Amino acid sequence: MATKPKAKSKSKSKSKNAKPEVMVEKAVIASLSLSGKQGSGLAKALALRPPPTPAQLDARQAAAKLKRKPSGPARKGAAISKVKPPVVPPTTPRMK
Amino acid sequence: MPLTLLKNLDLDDVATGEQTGTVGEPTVAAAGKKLFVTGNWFASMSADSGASWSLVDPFTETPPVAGGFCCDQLALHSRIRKLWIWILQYSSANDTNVLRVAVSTTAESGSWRWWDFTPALLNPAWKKLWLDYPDISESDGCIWLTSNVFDANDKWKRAVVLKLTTASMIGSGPLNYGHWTTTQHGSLRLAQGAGNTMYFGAQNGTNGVRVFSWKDSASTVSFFDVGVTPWRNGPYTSKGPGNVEWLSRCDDRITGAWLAGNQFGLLWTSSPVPGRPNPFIRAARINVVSRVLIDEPDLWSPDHAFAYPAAAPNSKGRIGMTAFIGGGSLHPSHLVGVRNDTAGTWDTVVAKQGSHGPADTKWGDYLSIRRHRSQSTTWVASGFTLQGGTSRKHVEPRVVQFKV
Repeated sequence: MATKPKAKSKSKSKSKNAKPEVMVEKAVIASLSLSGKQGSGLAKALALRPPPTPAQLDARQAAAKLKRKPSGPARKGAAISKVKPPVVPPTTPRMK
Repeated sequence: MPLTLLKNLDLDDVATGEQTGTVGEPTVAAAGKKLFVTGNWFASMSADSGASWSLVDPFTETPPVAGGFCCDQLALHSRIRKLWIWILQYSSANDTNVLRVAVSTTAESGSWRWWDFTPALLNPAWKKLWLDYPDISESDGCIWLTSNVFDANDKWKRAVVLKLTTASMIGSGPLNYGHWTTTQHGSLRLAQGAGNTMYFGAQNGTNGVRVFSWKDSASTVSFFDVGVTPWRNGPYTSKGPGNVEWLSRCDDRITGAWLAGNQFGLLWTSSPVPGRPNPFIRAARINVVSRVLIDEPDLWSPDHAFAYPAAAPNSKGRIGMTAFIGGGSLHPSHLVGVRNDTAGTWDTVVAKQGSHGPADTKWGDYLSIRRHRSQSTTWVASGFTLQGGTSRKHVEPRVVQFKV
């Protein structure tokens, strides 16, 4: 059973040589018992839910969104004019 | 430096049960002669180095939970405990879902045990939330998972990191784990090749990254920020023969991360920037001791797009990668490569050229590459192409083992 999450605690340690600052946050420790025993779920699973039909998989393919879901909070895009020249020579793949 | 493909395997309809899609998301784990491959919407095991395959059906191998098996899967073989690990994502029911962590000593059908994680298990206040876009890696003593967390309206709410104590995954005792969460960064990507500390990365806007670290023995997560050359998150477009689009679904989330010595590397797909006319692989390598950017060895081409990269170090610290290449004269094709720091290049080989692009412009969302557990100077990478047609049934997943 999971313990209740603890309040975040932050501490800061400033570097002396211009390294980026390191931040620290607390995690939560817990444990969880098995949901199923070895092999025990197979027969039951087969009985409850057969594999999907090809038509059902076609529907899944059709339902896949053209745009993926957002990956994080809204963010400000960097100005493209600030793009620097390549750091290393560009490479192209070697075709076999 | 020549790159040698030791195995270049196509998974046929017997291996996949024709349960394939063009958002293929294949992953692979390898140890000895065994291979375990997952993808949308199949899993398959080979005990003879890929000569034959057995479907391990994610819909029926373990009992359904929440809204039933959905989509994202991950495969990993624990180098320490010799344990096969299989992550399955389930559909939402009542606005929440499950990430199942299944383990087996053989990867064979009927051998799996599992634990189910829900947002509410991690925090009772996290109701009506669901987990998506998991990642997996291993450190000396732990198996690590990350996931995004969304609400019922598909609005991103937070990301979580799970640290599972590998020793507790064996036997019948409880699974010991820790978790940490952030509402500031999403799509956290775990390093392949970690030692006793896991490193993971996220993006700060489009001109920086945050580097996180969490020791196996610790209950705290540390992080610092590093600026990188700005990139662009869209629009993504790449059209192959016949003017067929394949990147309509692409975005800039990090899809590859590794640790090699003090070097933490990240890869993602950027849309074009001045000097790089096609979508390309954005790379950043950071020294985790000095906390400075080492370099940015992008992979790009004036003729083709690159997308969906993943990377991992071998036992000698060389960086292997897997990705897709397409556009121009190429249908979406599977590529593997190795970083050549002497030449300052990625040495790459197209493992398989696709014969078609996707009818519905959808591709992705991720690939995997692992150090082979038994032949640790080699890599095993997943990929897929379309062969003989444009529909999901023409998807041909693949496994490539290679070395330099």
